[in-house]
Amino acid sequence: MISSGAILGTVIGTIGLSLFAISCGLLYKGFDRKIAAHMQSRIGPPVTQPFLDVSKLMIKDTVQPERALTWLYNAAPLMSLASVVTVLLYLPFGGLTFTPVLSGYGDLILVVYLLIIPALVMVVGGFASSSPFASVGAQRKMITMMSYEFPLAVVAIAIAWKLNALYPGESVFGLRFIYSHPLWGDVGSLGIVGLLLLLFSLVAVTPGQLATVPFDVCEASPEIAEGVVTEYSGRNFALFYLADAIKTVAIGSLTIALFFPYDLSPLISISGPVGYFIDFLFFLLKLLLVVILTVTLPRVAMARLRISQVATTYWGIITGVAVLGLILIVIG
Amino acid sequence: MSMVTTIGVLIKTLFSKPMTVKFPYEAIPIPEGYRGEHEFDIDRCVGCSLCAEICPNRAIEMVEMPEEYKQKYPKTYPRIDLRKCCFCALCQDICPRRCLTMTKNVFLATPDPSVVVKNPVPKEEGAG
Amino acid sequence: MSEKRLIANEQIAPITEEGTEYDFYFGPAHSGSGNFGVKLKVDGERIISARADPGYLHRGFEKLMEYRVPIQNAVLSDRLCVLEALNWNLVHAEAVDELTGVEVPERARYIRVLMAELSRLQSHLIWYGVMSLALGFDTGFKVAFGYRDYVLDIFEFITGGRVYPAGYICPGGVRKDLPEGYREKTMNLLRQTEEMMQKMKDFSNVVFARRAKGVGVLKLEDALRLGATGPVLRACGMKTDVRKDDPYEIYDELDFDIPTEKEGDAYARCLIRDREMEESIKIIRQVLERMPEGKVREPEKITPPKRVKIPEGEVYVRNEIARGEAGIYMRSIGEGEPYRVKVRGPDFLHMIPVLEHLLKGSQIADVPAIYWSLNVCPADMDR
Repeated sequence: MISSGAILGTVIGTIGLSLFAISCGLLYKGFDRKIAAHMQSRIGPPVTQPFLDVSKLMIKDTVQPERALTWLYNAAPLMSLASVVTVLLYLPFGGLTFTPVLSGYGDLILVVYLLIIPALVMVVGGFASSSPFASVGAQRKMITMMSYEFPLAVVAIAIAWKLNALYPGESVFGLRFIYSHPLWGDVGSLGIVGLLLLLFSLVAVTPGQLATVPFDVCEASPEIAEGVVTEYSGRNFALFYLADAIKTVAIGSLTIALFFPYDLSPLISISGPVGYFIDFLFFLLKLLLVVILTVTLPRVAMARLRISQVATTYWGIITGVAVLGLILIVIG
Repeated sequence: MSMVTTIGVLIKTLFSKPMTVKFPYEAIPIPEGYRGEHEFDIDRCVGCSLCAEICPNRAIEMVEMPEEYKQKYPKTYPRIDLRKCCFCALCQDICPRRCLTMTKNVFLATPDPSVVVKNPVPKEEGAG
Repeated sequence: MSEKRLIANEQIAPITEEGTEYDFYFGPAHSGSGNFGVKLKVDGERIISARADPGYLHRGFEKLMEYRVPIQNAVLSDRLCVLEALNWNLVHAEAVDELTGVEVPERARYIRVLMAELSRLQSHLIWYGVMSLALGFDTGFKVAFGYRDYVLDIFEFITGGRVYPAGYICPGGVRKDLPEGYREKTMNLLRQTEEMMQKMKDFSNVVFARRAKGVGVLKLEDALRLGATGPVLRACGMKTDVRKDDPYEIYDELDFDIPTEKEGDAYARCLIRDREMEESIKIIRQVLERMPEGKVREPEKITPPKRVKIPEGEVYVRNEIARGEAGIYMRSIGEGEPYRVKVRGPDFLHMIPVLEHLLKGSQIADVPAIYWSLNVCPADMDR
């Protein structure tokens, strides 16, 4: 039987984590825009701009298209936000000292499945909008989703397989376990190449999940006028915006948990509350670097790919790289 | 390969000075000869109305002065409607007495509609 | 679901329940097109047919010009296409000069070519920017428009206005002489533009090649049949340019190349655009070296409108503007105002027949790439 104290702790943890993740996600979105602007030799908006965007969107009217399916159209943003917060509850956020709020109730496989829901809900919302732009955008998002799931699954399985080979008998899919056993030191040189290839696949999958260039074909504004979210305005759009910000944090945390789960305090041998604080800051710094690498750099350096090119890139190149990484990790 | 050079170019731009001019705190200096707001020297004007004829948008209308100035300025003088003006400076070029000139003032947006039509006024009360 | 909707006396097909075809408006209320609409019939991602919808920017230039004397029309001709105002100034000024038979001074002709080539450079920078925007390449868009501002600084210095030079190239010459120090400023600008092109050169291989190759292929016989001119025709393999075939001003004394490509797709047009920018820079350097002294206007003062008389006659003048071949037909019956002016813009044929032909059978994802690779300007299509 679950005690009421545990339930209370979970609820408080969820609320606290959501608020923190919202602020962190929006702030990192601001950093992304600022750094991208300086790379294009301009100044860009202030770092707090996404907060202003969300507050402006919250006070605007919500205009509904005449022929939209009302309940589905309004439920889609809420479901998107709820599912993405749920993903965050399973990830170790802020270093090993912070237990995930729902640890023990789910593992890596559940996280990979839960990450499908925000994208799926956006597709449903797009189709429910009854607009040709949104329909085309939703079709494209479906194809993108189907394409990037396979490399993501290969990466997850590769990491878990290697951990199982090294530590047989443990629950290798549990996220606390993965976080406390980084693989870089335990594999041979072929394994290191394999890990790098898997890291490259995950870095390539992230823009697809977050719908940024070069894989933002579902929201391509010169072609289909904002695509999936064309008909969304006001509060609905603000919820999608927030879900997008939190998803950035969630996927960044997943990348860190799988590949860079190092904590700083054992290295400089500080423990106690100061150590926890330093770990937390180090986690945030790592998250910033991951966001710059996966979101900002591709956005500034590349152009949007066509939907057929997205499918061939994910099914062909990225899957090939991930499978090669899997093989190399198995060997080395 | 070219991906590497592009990223190198981007990193280099990241650490150099941006192109942006932070208007209104800084501004590019406006050069001489810029076609901004008109300045009218009423004492040189002879009322030939060439400026009203040449204006492509018919923004200049020759009007008489109000009663108190009629004795000193008996002829008709140009009234410029800034809403219609396209700032082409043809009126400046054609004026034979060189009394209509374009200044460099470009900050003409105003919420007050009464200043948009520029009546000819004598110099002591401010620019015409 | 299968109701018919009437739009401006044109019935569009009903949205059937069983079919997968639907209408898609790449229209005026769209973030990817200019002041122009295209009605597409789409099946999945493939376009079955396209119908252009012009007329959103019609301002009645040809009638407006009948009520104004030539010097006033020179101010009006900026606005035929705002993206290359000085080129249209030049076409109009040449038409009036031929009718009146005036001999334009040598220095004025050099200044005219200088300003026309600067305007072409600036127009191609805009083309670079919007083509990047269409492909989702954000950096190219921002950088191209940033560097375009340096050209606008030169325009401000010489003509007194950044975007609208107010008829700087007017019948009889140019309106005023070049101010002191223009030579250093222009050489500085050329250096900055070359630096930008060098910086962006690596991006072309990564970005444009992947999206624009093989997209919107226009064969030579189709291009000639549908009336394409300018860079669009040169990308199909025909080496033609009004500056060489039918030289005007001092182009026959200058040394420059005509870039051509053979494939006729969007990538070929992008390559031609880059090489035309280099050719313009070459021309501007030669003009700066050879600039003679002298008067800049014949007659020096503006004639009052009531005394202007254009001699009787009719004339058709054509020029090579950044988008293709532009022409003005002017007929006068001896009054001060022209009796009839007809403006031939290159974009009328690019945006209606050529665009519809290219869009049929392509994908939705290629629509912006094709559309902006033709370097369209709704302003000189609608006039």
